[in-house]
Amino acid sequence: MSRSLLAFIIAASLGAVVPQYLALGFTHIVPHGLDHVLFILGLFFLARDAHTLLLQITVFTVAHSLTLGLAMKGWIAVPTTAVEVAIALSIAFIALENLFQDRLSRWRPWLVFGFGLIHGLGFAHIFEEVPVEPALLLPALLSFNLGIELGQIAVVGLAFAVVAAWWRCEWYARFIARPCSAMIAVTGVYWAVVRSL
Amino acid sequence: MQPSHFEVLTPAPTNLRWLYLLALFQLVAGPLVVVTVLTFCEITVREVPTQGLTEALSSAWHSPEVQALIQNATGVPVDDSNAPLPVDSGRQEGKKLTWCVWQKPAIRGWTSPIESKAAFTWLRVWTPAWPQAPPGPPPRVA
Repeated sequence: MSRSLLAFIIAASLGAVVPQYLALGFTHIVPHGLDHVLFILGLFFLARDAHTLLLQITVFTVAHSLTLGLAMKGWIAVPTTAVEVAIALSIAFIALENLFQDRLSRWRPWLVFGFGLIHGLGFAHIFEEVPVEPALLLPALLSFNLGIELGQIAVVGLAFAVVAAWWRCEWYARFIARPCSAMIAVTGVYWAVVRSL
Repeated sequence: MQPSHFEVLTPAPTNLRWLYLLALFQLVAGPLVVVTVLTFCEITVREVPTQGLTEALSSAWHSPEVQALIQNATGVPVDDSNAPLPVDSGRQEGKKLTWCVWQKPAIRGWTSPIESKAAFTWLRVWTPAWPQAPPGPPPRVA
């Protein structure tokens, strides 16, 4: 097989794989990944300035990318049910913390990092459901990861556009952040119970 | 000053700048972490049969590929343990510093006690000119 033909086949495969996994990653967040959306909103409702949001979301991204990569290499294998229950509990915990904390605590980034590791395992389970050739693993994984990040940006951007205008208002926590966090917490607890049964 | 109850604020440009940074970090950090982890795992798996797990982990961490990726991601080299000391351009072997000239810090309204005359009114300077000075030590004999 000539080198040009090989290059053409690889390029064609990449051309097929990249959009497919980009879409898979994005749709895993919006609209299929309501649990991840609620987790991101849980992070969002603690923030009343953009750098708090930036820190939390970036830590979450680094953590879930870490376990996504490790799980893809087969270094971590956790049963799906356990991961799903842990994700639900992480949503509930983050939202409950929002009810009692007004600002970013010292332990919150570490907490987000730990929960991000769990969410990465959830992403890995989704990635494994679609078979991919070993030669195309890296572009597929990177596209999937980029799709997830784009989904997160969409969620954060939408929430920012809707709510951030009232960040500086004194009633923001009382009428927006805490009620929304309470609803997220209830949903998280409900999911944890349902998924563990 | 807190805004009124029904006042709607437009997102400040600073916040929009932070949001732009957030998007940038998301799109860069995720793939960079994934590539670093995959490279680290590949090198470790390759080295395990010859070196054992602990040594393989260590050599993978110190490998130039992983170090380059981490340096690209963070901008800071992680593995400095075996790196040579940084060469000071202003100093050559056996010579004085050429660029470093000591200057008194310019603090307005402050004079050092050595400079101030008042300090010398109570400070007795130990010099041979002092009439009651004891004799100095004998010369050293080689």
